[in-house]
Amino acid sequence: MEDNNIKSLWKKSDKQAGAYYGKIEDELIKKASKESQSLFARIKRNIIIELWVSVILAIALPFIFWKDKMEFAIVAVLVVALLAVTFYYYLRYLNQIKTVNEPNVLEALKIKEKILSAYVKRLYLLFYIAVPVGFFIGLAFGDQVFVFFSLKTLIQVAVATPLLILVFWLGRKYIYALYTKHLIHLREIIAGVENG
Amino acid sequence: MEDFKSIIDAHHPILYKIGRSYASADDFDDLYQEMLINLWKGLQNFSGKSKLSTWIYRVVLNTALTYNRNKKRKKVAHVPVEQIENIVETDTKQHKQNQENDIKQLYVAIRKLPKDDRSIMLLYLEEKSYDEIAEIIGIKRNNVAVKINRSKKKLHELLKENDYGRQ
Repeated sequence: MEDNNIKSLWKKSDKQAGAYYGKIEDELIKKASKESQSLFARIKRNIIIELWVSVILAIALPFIFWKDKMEFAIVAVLVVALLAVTFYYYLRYLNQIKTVNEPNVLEALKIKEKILSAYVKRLYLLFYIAVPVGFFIGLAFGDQVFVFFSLKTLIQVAVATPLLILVFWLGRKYIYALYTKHLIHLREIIAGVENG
Repeated sequence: MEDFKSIIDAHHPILYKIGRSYASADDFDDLYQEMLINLWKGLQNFSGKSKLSTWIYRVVLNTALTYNRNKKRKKVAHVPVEQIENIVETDTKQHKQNQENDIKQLYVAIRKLPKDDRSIMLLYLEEKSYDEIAEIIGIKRNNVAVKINRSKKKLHELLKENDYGRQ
């Protein structure tokens, strides 16, 4: 067999290379599209469940302080304010995702990744503000006379601090399980499509 | 640095042809994917001292040479390699069908070459210069011609054994 014939055949297998590459791209994009749709469906379901749990907690929580009208009012206002902010972020996120109108699958995924990433950052921010505020309100309202540097207060703080740490840890785990995990998966899907 | 996708768009035949020369149909998808991953990882550190295509050949050949078929990955896309010929040509005349078979036989023969000879042969078929071949493989330029002749001889013998080119 002549060298030229072998070289000619070798060049002709470029067509097969192109067909394989094209097929891989199509399959990757289809798979990424399907995976991302189910991922966003799961996030939407998590948000709706959270919305309902937030409403129930917002109604129930102030009643822990129902004995004192002032405390009840303060806690109720703070809880309603927190609920309003979280509602706003939930609805804004759902609306942003719904209105992504990019025909290119990869670009659409990247836009959605930015939206989800911003949403998760805001969740963490809310969480880091709400928990310490709740902690101090609990300390202040738990004691009739709140004196910051009294021995009794310091003992209460020492006992409550591990609880605070536990709440932080659990809260972070919760946000990770419901949202961050999906964000990481979405980034893997995007990387998978980009890198073939 | 150029976009990774546009680089692969321009050079994907290298991955395909080297992949088919080193992997059986069962392992081809895995090897192809590993090549892509190694290119992605390496491209971020590519210094530009050599030509991009030279660098790509080096990475892809190294991946193929060190490919461990036991290290199976989760398949991103499974496209049976034998079906590619059907995808490319659906209405082929007889001579085109023979050509598809000849390409297949060529790959079979190349896969039977020892790994070192395979590398040289692939680069020779890609019409790389002796300097480029020496740079990619990491051998002296003086040795390239000798190795090419040896590999060509072996390839011709293998093609004869496979009854290639029934003309």
